[in-house]
Amino acid sequence: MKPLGRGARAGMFVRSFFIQGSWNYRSLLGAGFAFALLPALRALYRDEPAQFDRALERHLQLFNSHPYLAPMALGAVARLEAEGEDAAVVERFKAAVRGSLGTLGDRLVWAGWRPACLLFAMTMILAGGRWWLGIAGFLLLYNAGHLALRVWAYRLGLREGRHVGERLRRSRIVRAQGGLAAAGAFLLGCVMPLAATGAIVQTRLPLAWAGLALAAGFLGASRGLATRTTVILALAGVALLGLGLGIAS
Amino acid sequence: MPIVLFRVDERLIHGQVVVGWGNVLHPDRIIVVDEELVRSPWEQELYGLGLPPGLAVEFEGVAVARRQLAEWRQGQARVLVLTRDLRTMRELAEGGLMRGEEVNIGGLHYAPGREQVLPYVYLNADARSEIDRLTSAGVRVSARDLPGSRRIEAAELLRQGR
Amino acid sequence: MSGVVVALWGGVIGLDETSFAQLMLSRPLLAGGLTGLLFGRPVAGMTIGLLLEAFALVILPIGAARYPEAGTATVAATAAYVETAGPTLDPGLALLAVVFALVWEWLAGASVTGMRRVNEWLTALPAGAPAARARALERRHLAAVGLDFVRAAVVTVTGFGVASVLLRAFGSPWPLGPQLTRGLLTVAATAMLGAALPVFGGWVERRLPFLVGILCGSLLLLLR
Repeated sequence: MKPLGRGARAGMFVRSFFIQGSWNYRSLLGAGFAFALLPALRALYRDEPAQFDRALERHLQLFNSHPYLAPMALGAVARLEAEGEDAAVVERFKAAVRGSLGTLGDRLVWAGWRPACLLFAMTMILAGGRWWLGIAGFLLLYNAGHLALRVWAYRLGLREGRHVGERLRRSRIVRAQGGLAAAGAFLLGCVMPLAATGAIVQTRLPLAWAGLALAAGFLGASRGLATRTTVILALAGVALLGLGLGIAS
Repeated sequence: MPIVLFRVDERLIHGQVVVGWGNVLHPDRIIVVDEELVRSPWEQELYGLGLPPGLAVEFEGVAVARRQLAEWRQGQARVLVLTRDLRTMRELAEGGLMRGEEVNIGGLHYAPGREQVLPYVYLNADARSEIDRLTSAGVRVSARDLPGSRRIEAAELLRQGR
Repeated sequence: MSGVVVALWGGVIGLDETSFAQLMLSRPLLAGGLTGLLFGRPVAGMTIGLLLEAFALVILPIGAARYPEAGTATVAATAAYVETAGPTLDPGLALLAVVFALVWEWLAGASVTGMRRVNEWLTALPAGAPAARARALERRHLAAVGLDFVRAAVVTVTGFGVASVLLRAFGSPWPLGPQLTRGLLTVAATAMLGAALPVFGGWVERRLPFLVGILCGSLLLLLR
C-alpha cells in the first residue's frame, strides 16, 4: 500500500466541506467528489500522469452522498486507491455507497439530529429562555454532533476501506436513529402547547384560540406535509384580505 | 399483495426509493434483480445500509426472479422490484411475464454516449430499443423520479433528445 | 447601506444551504435571529424566524423534485420586517413578512435549480494534460461556489427590496385586529409544527413520546 501523507489526508477533509459546491444534475456530487479527492490522487500518482488522468476521470462520474457522510466515501476510496485496488472495484464501491450514504444521512441527520436540535432550541426560547441561548445553544449542540460525525466517518473510511459496510451496520451511531426520532417527537410535543398559547407571537392568547391552535396541530400531525400548501394558501388569503381592506379604507 | 412498483434506477436503493416512493407505497421488501450483485456479499452489505427497520432487501438473479414473480404477486409482503438498467427489466418481462404491469424509470444518469431526455434520464440507442421491447412485451413504461412528479410516457421519452 | 449588508449576509446564508459546510446558519430560526441581530433587533428577528421554522421543519431534502430555499427568503423577509416594524411585535407586518417569505422561498429555490444547470456546464472539463485538467477542476468548482454566493446575494437583496416596499405600503395601518392576526398566525404555526410529526415516523409510531412531550410542554407553560 502506498502511503497517504498527513497533508493529503488533511487536505481531503478540508475540501470535503465544499463537496456540494458544484452540485449539478449531470453528475450530482461527481465533480465535488473529484475535487475533494485530488490531494490523494496527486500524492498517489505523482509520477504517473496517465494513471492520474484515468483516476481523475473515474472520480468525476456520478456520485451522491449525504454531505456529512461523504468523508467516509472519500476516506475509503483514498484507501482503495492507495492499496492499488482494481479500478472496477473502486467504481463498484462508489456505486454501492452513493445510495446508502444518502439514505443513512437523510434519516440520521435531516430527519433526526437536525429537527431534534431545532426543536430543543425552540422549546428553550418559547419557554422563556434568552434569544441568544437558543441560537448559541443550537449552533454549538448541532455542530458538535455534525463535526463529530464527519470526523468519525472520515476515519472509519480511511481505516476500513471497502469494508466500511460491516462496521457501519454494527455501529451505535447508526442504531441511534430510532432514539433520535423518539426524542424529536417528544420535543415536538413540548413545543406545541407553548406555541399554541401564543408564545410564538410573544403574547398569551385566550384559551379558545389556544384550543383552536392545538386542534389545528393535531390535524396537521395526521395530514403531514400536505398541510403546508393548505396553510400557506390560507395565510396568503388573510394577507390579501388585509391588503384589500387596507386599500378600500 | 401485488408488486407495488417495478423501477429502473441506476442508483438502486436511495432516498427517492426508500423515502419518496416508500412513504407512498409502504413496501415491506425491496428485491434487487441484478446478476452481479447477487454474487457479491460485500456490495450487498453496502447497498442495504440505508434501509429503515421493517424494510428488508433481497438480491436475486434474473432466472430466479422470473420463477418467483408469481409468488411475489400472491404473497403477503408488499414488494418493490428494482433493477439498475432497462436490459435486466426487459429480461424479467420477456415472454409476457409482466404483461399489463407498469415499469417506472426513476434514474438513468449521464454517461458518455447517452443523450439527455429528462434531468434524471439519459438514454443511448440500446436503452431506447429496450424501451421498445418492453412496450411490445405488454409493459407500460414511463419515467417519474418521485410520486409527486409528472409521469412521462415511453412515447414521449423516445421522441425527445433525438 | 443596509442593502449591502443584506446582500452579503444573504450570500453567506445561501452558501450554507448547499455549497459550503452546512452549519445550519441557514435554518429560518437562525437566519431570522441572526439577521435581527445584524439590525440590532435579535428578538424581533427571531420571532419571524420561529414562525418560518415551523414551516420549514416539515420539508426534508428528500422525496420531492423541487425545494424552496428557506434561508435566503428568511433573511429578506426578516430584514424588511425589522426595518419597518416598531419595537413591539407588529402582527400585521409579521404576517405579511411570513407570507412574503413563503412565496419568495420558491423563487429562491428556482434560482438554485438554475444554478445547478449552470454547474452542469461548468463541470464539463475541457480536454488537456492531466495536471491542467485537475487545476481546471479546482478553478471551476470554486467558481461554482463563488457564483452560488452571488446568486444568493442577488436573490436575497432583491427579496429585501420587494418586501420592504410591500411592508411599507400595506403593513400599517393593518385593517385586521391585532388579536385576530396573532391568533391566526398561532393557529397556522401550530398546525405546521404538528405536521412535522411524520418526519419522526408519524402518529402511530411516535404518539407516546409526542403525547408525553405535550404533557411536559404544558407543565413548562405553568412554570413560565
